[in-house]
Amino acid sequence: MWLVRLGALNLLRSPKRVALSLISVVAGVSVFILGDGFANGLTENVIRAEIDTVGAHVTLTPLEYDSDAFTRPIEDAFTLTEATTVALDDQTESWTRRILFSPEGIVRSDGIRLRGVAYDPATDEAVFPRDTWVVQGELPTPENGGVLLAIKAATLLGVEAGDWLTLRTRTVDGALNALQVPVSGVLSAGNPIMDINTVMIPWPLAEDLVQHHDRTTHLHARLGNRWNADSFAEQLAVTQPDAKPETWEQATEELVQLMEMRRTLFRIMSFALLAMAATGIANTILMAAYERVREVGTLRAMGMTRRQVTGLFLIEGAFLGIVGGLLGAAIGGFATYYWSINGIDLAPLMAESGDVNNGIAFSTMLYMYFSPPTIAVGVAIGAFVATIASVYPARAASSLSPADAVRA
Amino acid sequence: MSAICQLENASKIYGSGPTEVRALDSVSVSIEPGEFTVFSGPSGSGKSTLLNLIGLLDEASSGQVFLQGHDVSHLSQRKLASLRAQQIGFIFQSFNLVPVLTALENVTLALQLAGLGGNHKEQATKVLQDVGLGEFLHRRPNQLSGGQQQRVAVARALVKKPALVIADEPTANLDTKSGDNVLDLMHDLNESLGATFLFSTHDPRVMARAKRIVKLRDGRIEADERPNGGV
Repeated sequence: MWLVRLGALNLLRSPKRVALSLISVVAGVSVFILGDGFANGLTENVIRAEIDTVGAHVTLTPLEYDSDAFTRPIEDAFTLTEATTVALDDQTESWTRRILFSPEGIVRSDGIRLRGVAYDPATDEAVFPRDTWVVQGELPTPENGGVLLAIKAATLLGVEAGDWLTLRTRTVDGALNALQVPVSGVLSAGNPIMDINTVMIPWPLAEDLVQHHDRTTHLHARLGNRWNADSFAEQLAVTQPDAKPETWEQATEELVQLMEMRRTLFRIMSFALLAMAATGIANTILMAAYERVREVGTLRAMGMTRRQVTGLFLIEGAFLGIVGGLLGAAIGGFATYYWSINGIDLAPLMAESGDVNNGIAFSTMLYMYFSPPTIAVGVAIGAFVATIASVYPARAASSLSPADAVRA
Repeated sequence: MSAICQLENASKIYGSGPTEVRALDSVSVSIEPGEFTVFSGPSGSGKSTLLNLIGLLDEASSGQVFLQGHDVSHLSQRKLASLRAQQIGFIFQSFNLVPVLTALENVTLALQLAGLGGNHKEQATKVLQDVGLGEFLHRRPNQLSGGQQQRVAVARALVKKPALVIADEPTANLDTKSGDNVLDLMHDLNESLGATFLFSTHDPRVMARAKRIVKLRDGRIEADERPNGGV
């Protein structure tokens, strides 16, 4: 215990030098924690956006369905079997059906390709929550007979709530069809996939446009526990042989891998900083060892063993790491916690990047993921790196000859 | 009376070939309990080397070193450290106190290193009071005068009741008055406790108090005198 105390007291000898060494440990640990919180938050963001906006927990699409965002074939739309309906009613929290298609939105002579979403007004909101939706105008109703248009598309087409829009597309059976509909509202959902070119069309109105006759291209189910998605998907594969199930994990697999790459990048950054910290700490401890040669000699003369001398300098390094790690954890942890509660608004960033989202759903509010275990790991890494960095100086100090050192 | 420490034909050679330096050349000397012995001699005469061997800080190139009758010439570093911790006290020219520790903590450290039982704080306090520093227990070395620091060093060396105390030029960094005080203190402790002191010094005041003076020249013992009734 006295050795630990002596090690701690020794750190107070050169506070400025210690502070400089601490900076890099603090930076390394805080970047590690922030990076992990950001990467985890981003992954969770993408997963939640996928679940809440695009696919819920399990999606059924026609067999051989080409999920390319620009084609959205509807000719293989399927009709739910009795067994599928029973399974959905019995085992899901909520479920709904959608038809995704690619109508052209035309206003006067201007036309753009839209992401058409035919939705069931009675069940859609239970599966795809609308907490973040801001609608200028009103939601489509049987009375207004309108559609909901994404804000970006509305801007491009110069449309406001109450204006008319022509939708031109092929029906489920392949015929060309067009419909002129009022835009009841303009939608900002805080999610690029919804806000750029989506047009939401209620199920009865979609019947007039694509003539689905209660067939669907996308069936979405929300479960009580998202981790049960695999087993439920397997069940749907049996009850609905003309469709293929996809779980939220499968839907986000590639994106999550991309997020993991970001996490790796953050880790590389933090480890580079920690490597710098290690160099600084090694230097600090080595300088301390050389400055205290006579003192080391005295301690050796008094009976301190080489192992104890090594331990003394390792303790000093470890203290540096622990203090730096704790400070880094405090900074990184506080920032991560703050942004896990308040979120980071990515909307300005999105505006700058020109709305290129390649069909990826994510929320423009990014909530970092606050993880106490990550913070503990950060502190441990800081202490470990600093202790390892002190091995060489500690061994250098302990290998001093007491006879020479005592008169240095 | 059996010797506390004994060197038999101990030599210490640094380097080899044309750069070889024979710092100590077949020296035999025996230190009895209660001695107040001074090793004197010009620079390079081998005083410090001799004290290094006696203090188990260095190993002899040849010959044997005995501590309390046991041959310690070939012990491991760990065992030597243990013997130093328990049997030998050191007092240095520059005091060599640990600057981040108080006077009390510096003295306590010697007990902790020795692994001795009892209440370390009480024992350290008593020795510091004995050397006249009862009021300065909680001062750090930089808050003490040179003489006071050397008194702490004396207390640190004596607190574990070692077989011998080795003092290397203990008055060299002290003014005359402080030097005299420290020497008087050590002399009194030698007289009252029977503590064995070995000095390396040029200081005539130390030699004036010595019971035995061993003069060294060129790594050999030139004379071994007992001027103050030493036996």
